[in-house]
Amino acid sequence: MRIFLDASAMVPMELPQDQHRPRLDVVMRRLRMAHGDNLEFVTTNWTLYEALAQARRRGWQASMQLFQRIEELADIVPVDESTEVEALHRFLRWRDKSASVVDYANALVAQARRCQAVLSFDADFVPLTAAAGLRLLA
Amino acid sequence: MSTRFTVVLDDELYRETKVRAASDGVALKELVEGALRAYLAGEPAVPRPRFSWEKWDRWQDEAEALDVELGPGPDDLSDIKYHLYGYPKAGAERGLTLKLAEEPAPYNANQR
Repeated sequence: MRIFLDASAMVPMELPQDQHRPRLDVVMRRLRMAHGDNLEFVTTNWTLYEALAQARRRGWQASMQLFQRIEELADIVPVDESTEVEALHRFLRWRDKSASVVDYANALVAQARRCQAVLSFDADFVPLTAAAGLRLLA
Repeated sequence: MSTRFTVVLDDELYRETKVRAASDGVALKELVEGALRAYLAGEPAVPRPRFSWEKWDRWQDEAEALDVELGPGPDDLSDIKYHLYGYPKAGAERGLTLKLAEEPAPYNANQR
């Protein structure tokens, strides 16, 4: 199963005190039972940078550890120019949505990489997940 | 069955690939075949990192140990929009909750 990993889920992976940590534990336990090692995580460089900035608030070691482990466990897709242009276009076009340019880019990458689900605790990302036909794990 | 084909490569690229393949213990033929298969499958030519629960468990142990070392900390750093974009805090304040979003399509671990 290929899963897109959002920054809101990446942060509690590194920070056990995070509010979403109990939910993350439940999701990961279910994934372990259902899929074993047959899992692939995909994320973007932009998303990783968001998560690193947040982990850095906890300390340098936390951001370094997060970077090393994500690099080891996930496919980090660099956002290319065409994805960036399309994400910005969608961000500017939808006035009623609170998703960020990064969210739109993530949804595009998740689709392009044929992810089946998204692991996210960000409610702004939810409508994009549904529109892209991806299952939400949260 | 195999087919022989000839390609003209950039000298430097060929040299670097040969050196790397030798150090990785991979035959050039395997490397080219792997790249072509990945291309046909729409996969990136570079192999993806493999997820493993062993690595995951090790990470979680390290994260727990670091957390103990650092002591009490904030519990809302996963609220990216609040911290990095200046949005109001997620949850009831913004009328957005994950609980609502989950209702129409709850996650079923048994469903692939």
